[in-house]
Amino acid sequence: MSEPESALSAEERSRRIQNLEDFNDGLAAPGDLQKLKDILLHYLKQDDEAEETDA
Amino acid sequence: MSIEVDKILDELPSFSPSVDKLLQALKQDFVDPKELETLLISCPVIAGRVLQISNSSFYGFSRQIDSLKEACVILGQHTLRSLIYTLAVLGNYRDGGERGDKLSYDAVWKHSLYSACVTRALASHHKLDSSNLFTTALFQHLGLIVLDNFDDSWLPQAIKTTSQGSHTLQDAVSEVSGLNYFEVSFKALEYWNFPTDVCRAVESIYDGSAGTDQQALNMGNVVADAFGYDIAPKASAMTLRAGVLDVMFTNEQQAHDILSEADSLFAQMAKDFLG
Repeated sequence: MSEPESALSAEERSRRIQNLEDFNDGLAAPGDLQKLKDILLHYLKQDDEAEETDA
Repeated sequence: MSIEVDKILDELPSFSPSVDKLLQALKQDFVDPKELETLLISCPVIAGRVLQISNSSFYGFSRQIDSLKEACVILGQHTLRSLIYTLAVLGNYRDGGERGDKLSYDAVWKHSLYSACVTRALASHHKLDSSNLFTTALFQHLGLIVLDNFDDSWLPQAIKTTSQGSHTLQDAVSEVSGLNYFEVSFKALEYWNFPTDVCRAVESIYDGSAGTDQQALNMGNVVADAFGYDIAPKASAMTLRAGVLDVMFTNEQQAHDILSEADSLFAQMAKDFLG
């Protein structure tokens, strides 16, 4: 199955990465919060890397 | 402070006469598609969006829907009702996103829509009712707008408290107004005769149910905040509940697929619903 084309522009990805770095759910369990941030960051960067490879 | 939700609902602005006529007709169990088409034609903005969304990837029909009558038949009255209510309410509460320190209604919708797209993608991966959960997520925060419409001093205070990081928006709003805003969302949807299953799902957020549907809604909100679709800067719509992450995102590839699906849907829906 082919990978669907990303709906995110490079600018939007960078905005989200910046936001994610500052994101702090003060009431969540710290372990869960870090794990979620890692998952979301991996998603954003994976698409970035795929684009760089294509180029 | 204690104020009756019914008193707040009495202050809600009414729909235009033609939209009101359309919504009144939809209260019946069955409306003739021809009559529905006539009523829709007198609400051109809603009619145009119904056609646009009927043909979008959201419903995924393989063939083009060319007329409103066709949309009525193919979508079915249940789906069409939800869609028309959605468009009518969205159309009644927009503000262009610039309100200074006040609650931005467009920011509420943007957060809700992104959250709805993530929730829908999670729902389809976890075999939940994705259509119902999408509408539920889209309207879960409606109570904020309804409360702000009643007293516009409450939300700026609540936003200030939540941006300091120790309160969710729900707790901060409760502190200033004495109300659970999810209850207001639920009652407003009931007041407008939204489909019962959507009202019940919003009620389940308010009554604190902890099933898989609520976990998907929780994750949708948290991801929207994490990606910066906040209702107000640094406002936490919902905190990540214990155990939700491991249930909703079982591995990185599955998480990638869900987020990618949510982003594709959001790109389309932001134009259709908020454009």
